[in-house]
Amino acid sequence: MDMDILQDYLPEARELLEKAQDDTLRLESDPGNDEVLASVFRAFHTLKGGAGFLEAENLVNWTHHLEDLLDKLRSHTLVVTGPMIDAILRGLDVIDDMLQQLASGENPAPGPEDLSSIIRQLASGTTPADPVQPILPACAAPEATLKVSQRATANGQAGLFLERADATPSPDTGSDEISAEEFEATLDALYGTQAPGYAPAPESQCAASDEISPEEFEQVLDQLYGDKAPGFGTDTSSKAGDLPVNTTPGNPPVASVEAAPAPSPAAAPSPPSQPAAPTAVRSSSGAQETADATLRVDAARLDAVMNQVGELVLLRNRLSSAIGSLGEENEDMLRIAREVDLTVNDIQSTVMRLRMQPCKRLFQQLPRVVRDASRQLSKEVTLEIVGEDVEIDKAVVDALSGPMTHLLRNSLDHGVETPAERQAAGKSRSAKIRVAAVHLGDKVRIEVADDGRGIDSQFVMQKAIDKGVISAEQGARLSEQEAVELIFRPGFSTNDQVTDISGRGVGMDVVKETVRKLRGRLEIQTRPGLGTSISMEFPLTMAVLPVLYLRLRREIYALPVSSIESLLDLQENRIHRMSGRTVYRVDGTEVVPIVDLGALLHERPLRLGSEPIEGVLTEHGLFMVSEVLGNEDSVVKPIDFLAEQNWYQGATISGKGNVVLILDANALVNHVLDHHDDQANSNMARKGAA
Amino acid sequence: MNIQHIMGVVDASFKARQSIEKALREIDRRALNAMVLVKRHGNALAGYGVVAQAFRERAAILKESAAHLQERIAPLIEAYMRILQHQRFSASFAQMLEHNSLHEKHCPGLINTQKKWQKIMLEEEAEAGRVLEQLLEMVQQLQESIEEQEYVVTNGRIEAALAENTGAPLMRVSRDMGEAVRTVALAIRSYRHQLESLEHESSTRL
Repeated sequence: MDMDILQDYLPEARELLEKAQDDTLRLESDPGNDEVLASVFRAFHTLKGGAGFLEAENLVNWTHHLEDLLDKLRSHTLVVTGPMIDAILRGLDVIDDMLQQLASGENPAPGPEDLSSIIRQLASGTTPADPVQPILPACAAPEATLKVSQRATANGQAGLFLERADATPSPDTGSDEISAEEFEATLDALYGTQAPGYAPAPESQCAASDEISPEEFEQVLDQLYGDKAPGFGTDTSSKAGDLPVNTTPGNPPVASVEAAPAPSPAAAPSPPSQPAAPTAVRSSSGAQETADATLRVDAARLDAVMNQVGELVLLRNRLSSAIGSLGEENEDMLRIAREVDLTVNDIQSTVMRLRMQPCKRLFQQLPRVVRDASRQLSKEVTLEIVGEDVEIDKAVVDALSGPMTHLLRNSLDHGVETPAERQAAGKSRSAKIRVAAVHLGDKVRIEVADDGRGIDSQFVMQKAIDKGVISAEQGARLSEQEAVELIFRPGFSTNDQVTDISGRGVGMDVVKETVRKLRGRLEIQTRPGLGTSISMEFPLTMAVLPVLYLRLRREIYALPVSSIESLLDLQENRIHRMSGRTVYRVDGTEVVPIVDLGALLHERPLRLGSEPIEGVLTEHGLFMVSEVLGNEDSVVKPIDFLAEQNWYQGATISGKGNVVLILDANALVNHVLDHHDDQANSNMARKGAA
Repeated sequence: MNIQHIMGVVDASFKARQSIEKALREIDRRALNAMVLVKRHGNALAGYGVVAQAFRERAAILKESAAHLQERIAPLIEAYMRILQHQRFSASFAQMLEHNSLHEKHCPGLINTQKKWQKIMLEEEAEAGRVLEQLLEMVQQLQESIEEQEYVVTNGRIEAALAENTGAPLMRVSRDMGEAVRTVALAIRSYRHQLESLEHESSTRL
């Protein structure tokens, strides 16, 4: 296997796969769309061509079957049906597995024979006895099996033996004879395209003639050049943005997709009556221009550049600090420092943009998730996607794929009611799930909201107590919001039975942990009967972290600016005790727990009135510190040698060249809350013993 | 001039110092709050970021100036206390001379000594006057710095108005900044009145 070709092939194949999935889902609601049919066909065709270069025979065979099916759909020999969509989607999953095998250096294993057979039957125009089950493929056990073996015949020559074994004979398939299609399919399974005498159908049809048709000519060119032929181009004129698209009548009406804003089409759509081949040629120049304007770069190289920019930022900070200490005597130096500052900011911003990717990459898997899960749960859902073009750091896009699936599945399983329940509650039969990405200054907010039943905080708290996530005493002290947030605790699940969708209690805490690792912020809002919204806010870039330096007695620490609400002058008359916790009354409506950093980090509480104390208000609590020093853009250095659970996000080097620990505000607040609970418990135990 | 007057100036200095320090801390906190707000909004509030940075830098300069001001208070009070002490000495010499009509015969140096004390007192009063003048000049500079700070606050208000569509509460931040600057300005003005009344008192005596 040529590793260089593989390195080029894999990312392109994954993009094609994602696009093919997207297009296939669109076909479900718009089965006659020639553009989309052509696009899916081309995806399989290109995948097959690349796999041929890599000598991945099984992948070639697999894509060949799908290409064959799509070719017939494209030429309107066949009409798109629900089982076909299911088969294509499952076929895409198989290709995804094969690509993963390729990525790990293995030659892909053959695809599942049952699915292969179904796809071939669909392509041959026959309806498979047992159509594809979208979610539970294990249930799609064939009623009859064909057993093929190659062994010596009576005269000692090699022979091909075919046996049919009926598990549950049906009136239609009661005969021992097999059809010509089945035999062809079996041969394909055995030899793929290498069978002696094998020739694609169009060629065989024209074999008697000396003249070749344009399609045959195209195929010969494809075999010769793959997608490298002069004039060949990928049609990018798909119109994903023309949605909303409703489900086709006749298919199970479970999920529809709305996307806004629409991605701009790269080329004008061709009229449906025009053949596919000219369309591809017509759009080739645009595709070529796109190819010239973009450059595929190894992510590791970008990471290296980003790290170097991080070092540059640290050096800039040190330079600014050193020149700042010179005072206003040397104006030239001050001016140079300012210019360096601006230039480094520009470099940082440019390099940051290199790593940005549109949220479309993150969202494109979601329609499939909603489609499959809603079918399995027999719920009707409309998925609305907003802000696909909003860009965010690649690390966030990569890490958030799993959590987004978890969120949607949980929403479908727990939040969204069945159509009958919704009607009884005076709602529309079809629920709405909205996935949105919004720019908020230096952050991006990603929100998953449904109009389902909402979360019952009392029910969640009782479940948490039953499952031993919290004690009854702890539960009694929780506010309504804190009770709802129990769903993010490890091991929490409201489902007593584990299903394919949820119930293992491993989803939501993974979401929370992923958000924490990405230096993000997670928020949940729920209204009983009206719905739930879970929003995640992430910094635009992971490379640079603006921090606020603060002094705790003689030591300097840093807090991420993103977690800070404001800086306060502490007033003693606003400090209170409430439910065993020390809290601060910020204003008439906001009361937050106090985090005494002196007590926590020095084991010696700060004494108000006896030493200088300032307050830093964060989203979850008020931090008591000796002095707030100032802010700076820092670069986070991981501190791997500490325990998994600690109070630090990492370390940085300040402008003065000192190593400064960056505090994890959430971890500190949680520790204080848990510690108070422990203290309260031990106090109660002592009282009990007394 | 009397001891009560000087003690009044000492009290005023102490109060002014406390008030200025507190107000400057408040200014610094406001500036930091503004910078945090700016950082949380990315590049959208970059213009206001420059203003907030300038505000904080000016606050640091004000703090330094206020510290220098405090350094000049002690020599001034010391000079006036010495003048008071020498006035007492001079007064007691004058009393002694009044009670002894033959002082020129018995103590011929007494008048010379008294004249010498009076000369020293004049020198000390001149020195105290100079220190007071320097102090007033520093107060003047501090007031000019505060005016510059008010100018920065005005710029902040303009930037806040320009960035109104971002939804950041910059107008409130600018108003808070303005209030903190006004508190310092009031404290300095009150202190200046105290010093000027001392100057007036001293000059009439002199």
